[in-house]
Amino acid sequence: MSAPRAGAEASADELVRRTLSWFAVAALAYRLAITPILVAGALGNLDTDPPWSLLVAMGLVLTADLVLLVGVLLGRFGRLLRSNAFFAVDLAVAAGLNLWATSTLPHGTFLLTGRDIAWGYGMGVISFWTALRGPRTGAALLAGGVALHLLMAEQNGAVYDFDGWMTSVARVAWLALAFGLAWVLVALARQGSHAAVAEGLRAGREAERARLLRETHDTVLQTLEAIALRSGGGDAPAAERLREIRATAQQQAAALRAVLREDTARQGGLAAGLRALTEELLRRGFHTELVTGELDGEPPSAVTAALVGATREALTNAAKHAGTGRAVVRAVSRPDGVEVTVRDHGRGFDPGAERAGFGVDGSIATRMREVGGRAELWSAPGRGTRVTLWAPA
Amino acid sequence: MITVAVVEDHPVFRNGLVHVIEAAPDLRLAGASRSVEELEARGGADAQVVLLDLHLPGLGGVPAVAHLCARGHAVLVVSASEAPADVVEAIGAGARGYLTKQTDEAEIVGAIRAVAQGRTYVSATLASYLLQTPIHITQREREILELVAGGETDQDIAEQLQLSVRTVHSHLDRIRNKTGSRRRADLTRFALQRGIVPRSPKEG
Repeated sequence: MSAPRAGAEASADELVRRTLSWFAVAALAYRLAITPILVAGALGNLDTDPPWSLLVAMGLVLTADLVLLVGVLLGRFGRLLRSNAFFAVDLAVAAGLNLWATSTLPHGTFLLTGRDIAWGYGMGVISFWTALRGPRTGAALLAGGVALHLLMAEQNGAVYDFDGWMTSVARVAWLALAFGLAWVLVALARQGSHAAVAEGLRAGREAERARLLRETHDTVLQTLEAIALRSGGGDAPAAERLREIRATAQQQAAALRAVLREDTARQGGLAAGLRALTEELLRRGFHTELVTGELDGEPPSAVTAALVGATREALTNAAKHAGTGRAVVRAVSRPDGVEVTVRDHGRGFDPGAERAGFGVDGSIATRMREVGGRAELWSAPGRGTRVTLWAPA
Repeated sequence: MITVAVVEDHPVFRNGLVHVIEAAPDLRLAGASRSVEELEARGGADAQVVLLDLHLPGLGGVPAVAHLCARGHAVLVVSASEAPADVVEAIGAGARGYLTKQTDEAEIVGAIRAVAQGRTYVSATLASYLLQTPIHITQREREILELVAGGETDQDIAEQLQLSVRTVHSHLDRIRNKTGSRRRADLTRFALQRGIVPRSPKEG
């Protein structure tokens, strides 16, 4: 039972990760939306409009952000967002836009209201990376923002009077607010997801436990009771009673295995169809090793039905005639279709001499032909039999 | 006479394996125990072949395989798990063969004989997993694994590829060795994850 539970823990992490990536989307949307607002405000405040080249560059950056936003919403760019190179480029663009915007201002005016044309973009950058890379990165970026602001004031030759100081503090406080909000929201999202997942897991485990107990009662308990009943007194010879007990145990083991595999069977498909078939034969005392490791893609349902039906015929023949009680069934994807082989190492026969009774010429070949496939038979006395089925996928 | 020990914590399945061994004329039971620790405490240390379950109390899984191989046993894993990772990791740790619990008596006995002779026992299921692992195998080795996965016997394979049975066996041994050396790095990571090997403080 440990495997499914480990899978559930992994899915908890996955859910938290997905929640956080949605938060990053929100931060991205914020920095996309706030910049035009600030630029419009700046255009109203400035005596001389910023050069067109700066506005065009900002337009390009926002377009790139829009593409990124749409891509993230579609579930793309996962690797790009995690790469250090993208992190560096994004910071460089944000800092560069701010420095450029400052360089277009008249000397000494940087600390006046509304001259922080690209500053809001920086707020979006901080909340975006705080969500993606955690509070430490966010704090480092905040410190970087303070340094950037000092640099921009220096570049512009701004004068630090009382109003100038107040403006500087306010601008840094906006950055700190963006960082703080992102930090708190990420923490809340993480906690909320963990709580939801923990609750879901608990409920799921209880339901699973109840179901397993019921199944165990229906199969294992009744089998044990049946075995106890038969192995007690009675007139039947011991060998016969043993045989009965063995048949009951095999039957129930197969039933229980079917329950445990329910999930795969529910998905249907070739592998599940063959699995159900081999279990059915096991209940009749015929062992089949099923090898379906290399199937990619599912054939159409008509092809699956034909392959499973033909395999059933081949295995039934093996059970009747081979005399070994076991066979190997292998399903494998070929470049042009899907191939199923049924191999036993039983008595075998001479295919030229003895045709009657073997379904290859009859129903096996017919079934395969109906879906555009074919069946081949190889056998030799003492060497067993191999039936190869092929169908286009 | 081949001496065989059984390490399996499930009593019914352990008894089943014991019966299979006792019924075969050329096999002798050296001991049946619930765990690796019990096997070593109660003798059975002289067994040539150990039939080993992977999910055991105490030492289990890949470390158990590696431990028993180091003691000189030929380890034949008999596990309920059909997960490709478990199968390939067990082979990587030195197991000479891998059987699922659905295997019938004849195949179990055949596999014990094969590994007692120092050969690798590759069942059809195992062959299909080895085909999927990212190891570099030659075209000939691939052909052989394909045929094993299709249920062909070593004799059939030898005839179809016009090789001697001995050559087929040595190819299978080589595939097993490749799986082992190739996956050692993965195994180390696995051991770290399970806390079998202490993590260095740097990696936090």
